[in-house]
Amino acid sequence: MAFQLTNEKPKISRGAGYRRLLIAGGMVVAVLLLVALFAPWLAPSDPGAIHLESSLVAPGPGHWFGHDRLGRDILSQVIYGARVSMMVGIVVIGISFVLGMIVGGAAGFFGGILDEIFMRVVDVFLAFPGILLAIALAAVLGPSLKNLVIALSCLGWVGYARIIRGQFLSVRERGFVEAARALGIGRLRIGLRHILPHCLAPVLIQASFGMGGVILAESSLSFLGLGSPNTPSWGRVLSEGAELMRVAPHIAIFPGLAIMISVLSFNILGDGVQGLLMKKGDLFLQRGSGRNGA
Amino acid sequence: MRWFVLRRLLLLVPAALGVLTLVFFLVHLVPGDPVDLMLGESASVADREDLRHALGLDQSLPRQYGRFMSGLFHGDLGESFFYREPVSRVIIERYPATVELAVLALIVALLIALPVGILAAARPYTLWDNGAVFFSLLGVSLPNFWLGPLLILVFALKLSWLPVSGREGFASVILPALTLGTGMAGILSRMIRGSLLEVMGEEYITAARSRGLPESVVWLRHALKNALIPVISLLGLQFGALLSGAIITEAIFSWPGVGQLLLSAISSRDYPLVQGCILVIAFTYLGVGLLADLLYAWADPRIHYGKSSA
Repeated sequence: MAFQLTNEKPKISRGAGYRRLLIAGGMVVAVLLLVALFAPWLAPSDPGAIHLESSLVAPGPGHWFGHDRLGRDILSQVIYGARVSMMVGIVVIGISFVLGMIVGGAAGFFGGILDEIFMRVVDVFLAFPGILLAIALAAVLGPSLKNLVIALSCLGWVGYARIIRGQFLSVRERGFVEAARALGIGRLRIGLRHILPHCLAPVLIQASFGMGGVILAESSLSFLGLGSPNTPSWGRVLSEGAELMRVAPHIAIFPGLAIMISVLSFNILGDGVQGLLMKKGDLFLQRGSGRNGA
Repeated sequence: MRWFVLRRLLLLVPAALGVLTLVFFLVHLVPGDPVDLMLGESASVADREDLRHALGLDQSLPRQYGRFMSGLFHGDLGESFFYREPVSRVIIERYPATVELAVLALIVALLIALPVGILAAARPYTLWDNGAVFFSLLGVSLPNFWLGPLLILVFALKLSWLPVSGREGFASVILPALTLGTGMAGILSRMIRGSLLEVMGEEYITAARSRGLPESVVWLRHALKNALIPVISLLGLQFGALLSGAIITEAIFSWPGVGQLLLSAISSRDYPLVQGCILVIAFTYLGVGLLADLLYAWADPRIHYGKSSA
């Protein structure tokens, strides 16, 4: 196998590539958000409506994604599932961000013993692989959407706190912060008005990738039966479909496609945002995989 | 190096203690009485009190915590409610299956990621490269609880090439390993690409080329060897995703590992077993992380972990 370094100019410039990623990911994300928002108008029927006479009907005209074992319309469940995924994603990212900002900001700004304690707590959370802690929490709290959000938020805040702490540590030494201190501006005001805005770029990147991670984690937990049993989430529908793969593969295929498309589009969006904001480094790799949650 | 190992081991202690404490409180603060689960709600008050006393549940929480920690140091993880056997024995029976699956998934991931990463780095910023980047994004976006059933549908149900589930022979591990390894392949290929691109700009590559070495030798012997060193570190980090992914993959393929055991323990509310499984998975992750860090320090001769830097 021989490798030749090409002397040709890159066929696609980096900036243009990132912009394309941003547009492509952003468009799909926008569609997903619209579907979630207008689910009651877009869904052809009630996702929970049982029609035993049309049990396991394959996809066809009038029922494009087919029906499940209880005759419920899969398309309607997938549309309402978008609502669950987006809602869980936004709420978990929001809680994680606020918690991360408070803990990471305080650790990075005050440093010392507070920072030491913070780092040890983070070590403990990072000692749990992937969504194991969320699985454990959701299992002991019981299956419900609220508990699922709590479990995922408990996992998600660590990433934001680490990023914000790191940014605080680096920005607090910069000249303009020193100037603000010299002007007698209070510590809280310096933290909120002068340092925090500098944390927004990496946090935005983390949030874009994090949405994909949360959607995947929420679907995983719902697949395992740790989400709400009465909510049409993609993971729960897929879980039912996986058992009927031999006779009715359509039940698993469509919610799985929905999960993949939404996670992929948030990851592409994250890549685009990262490329345009950072233009160097590969935070994707430092951050690890979107599979690990928020 | 010795200081690095010592420092790394010392850093492990608070994390390990924290994991133990968190898992203890997580399981002991669960709503519901384990005695109800073991005896049923129709049991007499005396029987319930006896069992509560035997399990030490009538003691204060700090005392229970002390017993839990001292039991752990003696290798005692408690007794499973469901199996009526020591938790450690139940887990030890399942542990090799999880390790086997994780190692094979890692091999699958490397077999996919190496050619994809090398191809992307050999043609940077071209359509080949973009295709490889898209593949890596697709890999991390594919839910393994979807990929698994799809692979079963095609290779087990339609083509009848491989078994649907279970752990009997090498054929039975192929689909679970593929399911688990694909996500990691996405991340690894990207890491290999980035690492190779960085290494190709180094002076020793220019020197190797100026000596007239063939491109394949420059790439494989000089660039790839060095580019793979940071990948070791990433493997340690990603092993966590592999372990948690294994929980779901084991459930899909009825693979008799610790992950499947954890899920069945959750559904039967067998809390000592839940606790034991979480601890074993978390400590495996910590151990692999430590091993990856040590390997990284050993493999990269530029790193000198002297006393001052430690």
